[in-house]
Amino acid sequence: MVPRNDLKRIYMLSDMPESMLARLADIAHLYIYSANMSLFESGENLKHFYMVLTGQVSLSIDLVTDVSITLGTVGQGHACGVSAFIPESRSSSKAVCDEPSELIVLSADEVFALFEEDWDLAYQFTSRIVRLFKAIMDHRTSIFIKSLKNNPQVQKSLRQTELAQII
Amino acid sequence: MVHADELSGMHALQDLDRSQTEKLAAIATKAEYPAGTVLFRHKQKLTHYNLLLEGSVALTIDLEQGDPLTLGVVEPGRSFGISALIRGKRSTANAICQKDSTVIHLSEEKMLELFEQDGKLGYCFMFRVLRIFKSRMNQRTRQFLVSLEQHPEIQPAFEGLGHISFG
Repeated sequence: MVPRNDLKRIYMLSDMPESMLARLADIAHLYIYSANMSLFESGENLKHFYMVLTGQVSLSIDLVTDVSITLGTVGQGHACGVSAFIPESRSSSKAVCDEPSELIVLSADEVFALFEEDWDLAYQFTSRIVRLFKAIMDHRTSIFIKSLKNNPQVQKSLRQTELAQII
Repeated sequence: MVHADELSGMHALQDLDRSQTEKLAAIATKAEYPAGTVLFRHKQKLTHYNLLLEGSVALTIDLEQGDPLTLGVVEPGRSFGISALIRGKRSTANAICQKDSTVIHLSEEKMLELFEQDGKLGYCFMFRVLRIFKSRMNQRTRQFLVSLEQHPEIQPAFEGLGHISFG
């Protein structure tokens, strides 16, 4: 269990109704991770969702041997491990603590059990996860677009393929 | 008014049961647009979530130089404008009819009101969106990595941005 006020420091939960925060606080755990500690690997079936209370986590992906790309960093108040809420999906990046970090951890199984008891909580929480996911996706698209600015050859090859799958 | 049967084939609504689909149909409207119609612009505040019944809609973004880049083409049965349902978000692309198109519109305000009243419907819808986002992000990340592999000349640009590291 973590104090409700700690959950309020996480942006995606800051506007959750108090009664729902209390239920989430009951199943949340606070852990301290050392610098360079791995939270999960790319392609892993995640069981937990991580919210950064203090510290910072890097999300990266290996391009080829010895070359990795940092897709983004997750700072204080932000979260990672969204794939935990999508059954049978796998993480799209690996996550490593950049510095000693305090993380609030939620077990996806325990969150799903709460959902079964309270559909309003299920909706409120999942809509916030969607908001978070959209922000991550937009960030990834923006770094991609930045890379195209001065590379007409890449733009040309992209015009021949679809960049996104449309829902 | 839109008939529930017209919504039942929509990809984004596949997880909804008949009664849930009927609730959405009751707040839906339908409109026809000629080819070339701009449905919305990049960074616009959206008031409707959209489902394509007939035709095709291109999602594009403007680059600093040259023609706009097509992020994807929406085909019948697919949806677009999900930013309407995400608080504080604006559209991430222009939406332009490539052919004469029939679009079902769902008011953001009415949809969110419905989800507040019926948490299970809200959860089922958002959970589907989450799974679609995941697949879309995986595809976008893959596209990004393929571009980096095929065009190593853009990697130095990422070094400067701190987005790429060599192990």
